[in-house]
Amino acid sequence: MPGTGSGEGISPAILQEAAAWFASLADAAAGEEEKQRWRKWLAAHPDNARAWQRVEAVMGQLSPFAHAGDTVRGALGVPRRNRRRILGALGVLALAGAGTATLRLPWREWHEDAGMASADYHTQIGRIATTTLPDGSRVWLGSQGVLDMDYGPQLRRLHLYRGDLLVETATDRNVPARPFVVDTPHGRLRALGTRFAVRADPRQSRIDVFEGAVELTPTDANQPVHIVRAGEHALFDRADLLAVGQASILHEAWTRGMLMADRMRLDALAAELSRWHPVSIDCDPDVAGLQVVGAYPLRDLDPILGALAGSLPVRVVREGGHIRIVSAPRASSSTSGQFDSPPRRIE
Amino acid sequence: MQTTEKQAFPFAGLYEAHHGWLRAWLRRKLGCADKAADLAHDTFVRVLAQSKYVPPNEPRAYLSTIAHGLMVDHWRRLDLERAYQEVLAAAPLATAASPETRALTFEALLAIDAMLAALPEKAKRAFLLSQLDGLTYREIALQVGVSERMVKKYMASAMLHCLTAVDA
Repeated sequence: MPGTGSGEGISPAILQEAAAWFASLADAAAGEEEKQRWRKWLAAHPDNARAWQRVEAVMGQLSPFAHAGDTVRGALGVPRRNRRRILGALGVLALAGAGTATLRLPWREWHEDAGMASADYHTQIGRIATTTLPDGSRVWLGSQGVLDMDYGPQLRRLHLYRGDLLVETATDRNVPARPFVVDTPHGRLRALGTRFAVRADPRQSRIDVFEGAVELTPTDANQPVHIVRAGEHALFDRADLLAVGQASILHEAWTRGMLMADRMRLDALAAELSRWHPVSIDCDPDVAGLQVVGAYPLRDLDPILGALAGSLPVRVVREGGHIRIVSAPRASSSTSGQFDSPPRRIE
Repeated sequence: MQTTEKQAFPFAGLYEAHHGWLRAWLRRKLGCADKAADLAHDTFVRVLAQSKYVPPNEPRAYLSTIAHGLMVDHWRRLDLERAYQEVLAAAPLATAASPETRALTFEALLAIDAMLAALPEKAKRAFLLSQLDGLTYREIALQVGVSERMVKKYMASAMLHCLTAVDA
């Protein structure tokens, strides 16, 4: 699908502006005044016009189906299925890693002291902590995580203030069994018997469910808005559900010290690495949309950066505590074989 | 000679060591030997096309991650194909398109599905009602059961998804 891709070379802020203008104008009742202001914006910078071309490409992709709305909505409405199969696939991966985890993670920290029940857990950058909770549930806390545990007579509650958490809940031996919940700054996740990953970022939280299901209630909602099932993920803020999709192995593999990328955008990969290393890592807008496929050991930054520079048309620039991935078009003579072709879009 | 070749083409080693395993793994998941062979092939093609970095530690986890993504795409395609046929069959006097046109249209539909995959249900409905049916935000708000302001928010976030989505 040429032309509708990732908006390469255009900064996220401008894409956001373009999307906002689209939302202002797409109302069939939009007024002339609004259009005037949009034309000004369009003329203000060449990137604005480029971003708008992308908007039009998206609209163009839909236009063949205009007036076939019922048909399209009917077909697209078919739920994503095969949770069991997806779960099966993820299960094998988890198993494949399990036998080797302790060998690969000399930097793993164990907290087994009993006094932790009321304490905050903090993990430092690049660290993973893992522990078994009093009820037998297991948790992993990723880089820069902050977690609080609060087991009471009514509720087994974890509070994730920041960072990545993977939970494998155990059946409560209390009678009656207490619900297991994880609170993030953006809402409450109630486990319905399960293995799931939670990420709390400043503006939003994310939940990936690998087994069982999790009920999601944003802080400002007065009732659950969504049930996330095995094989699915959801993004949410305090107000609402923001996005849903497939569960990602990325959010599970970190417990084994691995970064798994399957068609991951380079900017997302850079952001991911920044979480695990005490340097800020980002990339230029014109390479942000390049896709990366690979499985990388999280703790070794240099081999990862070397691999990126080796397989993508990029080079790595270091300035003090900052690493930037920039465009480096290849000289075709210096490449050696058929595998040096730049990454291609799959679709 | 053998070693030099493997150094020059590290994927030869990866392929030799794991292709059989991957095909068997996919066959268990899919229950179909032909499709498993196809997807195993596609997995290696994707690895070849996109990365020359061979993960040192977990080649099988790496391969099965990629194969898993392809499997999910494959299932989604089957589901969508079925739903599309059903909707077309149920529509009275469906536009009498040729098989070629229909196939083309299905590809376009797949692309739209992939593009909108990450959107919550209400945002997706609002976006499609606007772009396919040309409804005003007021009309959409009534159909979806949210405020007009929310419809506008959905529209912006849906478009931003489409502009930035590469994969879900």
